[in-house]
Amino acid sequence: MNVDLVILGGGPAGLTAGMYAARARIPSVLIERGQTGGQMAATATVENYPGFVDPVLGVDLAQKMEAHARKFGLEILYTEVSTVKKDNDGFLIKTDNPDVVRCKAIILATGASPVKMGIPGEAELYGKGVSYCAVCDGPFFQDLEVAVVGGGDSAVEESVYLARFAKKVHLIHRRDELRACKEIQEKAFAEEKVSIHWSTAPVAVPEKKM
Amino acid sequence: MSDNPNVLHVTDTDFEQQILKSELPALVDFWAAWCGPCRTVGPVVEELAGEYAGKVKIAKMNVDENKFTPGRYGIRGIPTLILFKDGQVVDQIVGAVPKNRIKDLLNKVS
Repeated sequence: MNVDLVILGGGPAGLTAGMYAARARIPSVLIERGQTGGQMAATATVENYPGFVDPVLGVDLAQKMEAHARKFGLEILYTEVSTVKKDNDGFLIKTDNPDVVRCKAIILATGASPVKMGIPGEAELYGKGVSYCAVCDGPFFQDLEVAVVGGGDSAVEESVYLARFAKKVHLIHRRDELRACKEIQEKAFAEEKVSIHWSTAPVAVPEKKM
Repeated sequence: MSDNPNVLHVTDTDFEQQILKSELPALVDFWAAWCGPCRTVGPVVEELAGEYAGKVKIAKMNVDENKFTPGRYGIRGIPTLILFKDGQVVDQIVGAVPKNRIKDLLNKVS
């Protein structure tokens, strides 16, 4: 495949770039290895996207963004990139597909992924009690006690979200103040089920049979 | 939800018969409607169902409607894909992963 522009990543940034490229009629393709919407698609509700006065589901907003970009003709490849190499005056991109993609320019919109704690038990218990997506996995913890680690927007927002299912939510934060925006902090402070453990860091996730 | 004829929708009731007692190895995609990453993995699993037809039985279980089986396998995160052979768990994958990783999993038994 030969295009002028490849956009790597199908989150909000990549889809926006893709929409602009398609409208500019730049021959382009967006490559996404997972789902469009990126981390936003794993967010319960988005309350701070301008124009969406009423909260919108992260996954719904992701679908809208994808539909918006596709409406102008953006092509999306669902595959994982293995290598990117300089090739004459452009780039050569190899993916899981047999076809290589040649392009003149690349927009990196690869986004971010949840920070791992890096403590014993975390990797072993992923999917068995350790989760990076409260929206996906919250319902498994109905009437149980859960812990959320962190003090930023994601951690504090997910603590409040998990309070709908869990018996109690322990928010574990290594500092003595939260980094999350004040609006989200206010919700956490107002939620009875959320108890904050200040200046505390987890050291291991031991397995305990329920 | 698609009506892909190669994908079997299993429940707590027929799991034993359809999966554990299956002649073919079976891959089960545990999913729910509320889960964003499940919407990524779902279509990939359905594609693979066509490619592996006759080699691996491909099934989906809605964890919202079926609580017993996910509990039995200790599932507390979705999407979870579990590969079964002769009634035993061969291996599993948690989270949305690229198609090739799922193929690697399936190739362990086919």
